[in-house]
Amino acid sequence: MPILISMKILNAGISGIQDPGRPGFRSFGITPGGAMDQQALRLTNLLAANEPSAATIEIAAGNWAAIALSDHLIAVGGHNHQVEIAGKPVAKWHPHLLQAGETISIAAPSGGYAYIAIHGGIRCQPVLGSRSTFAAGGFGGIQGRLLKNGDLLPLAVLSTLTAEKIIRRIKGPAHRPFGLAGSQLPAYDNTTIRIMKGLAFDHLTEAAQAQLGDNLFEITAMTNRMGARLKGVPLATRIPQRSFSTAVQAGTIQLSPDGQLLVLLADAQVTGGYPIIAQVAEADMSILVQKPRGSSIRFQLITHTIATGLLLDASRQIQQLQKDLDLHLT
Amino acid sequence: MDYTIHLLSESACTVVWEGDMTIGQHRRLVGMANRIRQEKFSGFTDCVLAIQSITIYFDPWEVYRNSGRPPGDFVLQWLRIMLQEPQNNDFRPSAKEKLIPVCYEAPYSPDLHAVAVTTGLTEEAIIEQHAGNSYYVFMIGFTPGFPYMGFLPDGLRVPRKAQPELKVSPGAVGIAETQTGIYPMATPAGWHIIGRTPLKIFDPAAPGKGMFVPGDMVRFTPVNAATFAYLDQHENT
Repeated sequence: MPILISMKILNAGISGIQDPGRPGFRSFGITPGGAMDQQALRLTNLLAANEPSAATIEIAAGNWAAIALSDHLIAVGGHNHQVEIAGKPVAKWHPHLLQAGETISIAAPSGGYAYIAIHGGIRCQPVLGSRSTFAAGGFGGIQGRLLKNGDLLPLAVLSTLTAEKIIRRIKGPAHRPFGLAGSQLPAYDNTTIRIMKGLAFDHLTEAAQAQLGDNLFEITAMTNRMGARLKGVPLATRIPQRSFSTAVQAGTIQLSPDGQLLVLLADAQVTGGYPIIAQVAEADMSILVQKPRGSSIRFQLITHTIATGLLLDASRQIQQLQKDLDLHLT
Repeated sequence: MDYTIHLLSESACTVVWEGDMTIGQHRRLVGMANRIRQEKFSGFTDCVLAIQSITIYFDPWEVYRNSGRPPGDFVLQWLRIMLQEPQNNDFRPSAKEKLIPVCYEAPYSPDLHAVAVTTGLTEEAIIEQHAGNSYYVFMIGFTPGFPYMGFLPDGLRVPRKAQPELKVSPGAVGIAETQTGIYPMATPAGWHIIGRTPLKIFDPAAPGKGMFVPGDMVRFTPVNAATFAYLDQHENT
């Protein structure tokens, strides 16, 4: 498939290339990484007629802009982001045709992660089965680093049947916009995050166990792709904590020695020593990572069985969505 | 040894062994992790060995599709059966030790003096003890390629730094409590840095090829600054 340089970054903000990540290399100490908001990644890829595993641009902060050097079918997903093409506001969660010479710009006044899916995906070199940027390790994405101004993105020149249909629909005389809305998107406005008990949950005092469910926890400024430090009432433990490194993953909630909570995120290290109090339900991870710094969340305990059910439901839902879109386009 | 099994998440399950782990006991964990990787079930994605535990990762949707059962239940049961089988293929260590050159001279050993003060040993005695032992690789973690090795001689045991260093040089050799390790990348470090290896422990250009795997035996060989410079594989040093 031909690849050409067909988009130039004008304003990189803090952004990188992300796909679902590289599972399977934890024993080398290599974190799976991947998109922070995996649901947004899948949905934007779907709208751009991509495989769910296609590489996208993930924007973490700052104003972002790029100029297209050829025509592309694209879709942008995110929370609280404003998207403009050629200076005109366009809808998120809708496919658009970005034409050669047009500029796309994205602003996030209150933070959160945005995803730009481009039909055919970003074609940088995969490393260990993934194109995701892991800047701390210096590999993946474009030269193992975050994007910078002037970068040229390798894109595929291809157009699948689905993409052709979407483009016809966009260009059609009776312009019928289509996209995702409402219950098809993650419930970003929810402030309750569902969690499961972790191995050290019972080490908390009864009072602390109650506080975990009753109190609000603030997402502090010490939050990045590796983890989010929360601020709330310090939680006390019944038994002295000992350092004990075990495997952890995105969503693992650790208790730091000062009684505050640390939620590990996509680029978390593969092992951690702090006691594991809880695990965020994967179905709620997208909601959690889009919370702006300074906002507060509440935790609700659920069982592993319920959490697994939510995750399987989410998989079914996206498969259904794919079928609906295909139907919709015929 | 007694162990407990629990679900870490919808897609991971951890076995934790109780009590202090000896090297001999840990070799059985290495054998177990190898068997898990060989006999993996449909939907298995990864296996992480730590000092006291093994964690199995899986794709819950794949496990559900293939087994028709709640994925967590399926994996818990699979793992219980695995753990109950007689361990006839314990990991047998290679007779070879991996020799790692280390320069213990300034400026590669910024914390050597502080360790001497804490332990009451001379700097020469610290180097002699650190390089006079072979170490067992328990696990790779913290960052890509970081080996957790043990055990340090009793006299070399110092607590972690109260204030972690913000950035160490790739190849920095650290000690803390019962363990020694090598920082593969310029990362923050909570261990005391007593030397630096000129070898590239982790290469971003070949990230799937680590220098160490759990179960390896490692010995440090002191080299002088000139030899360090001759062997140096790091960029921008």
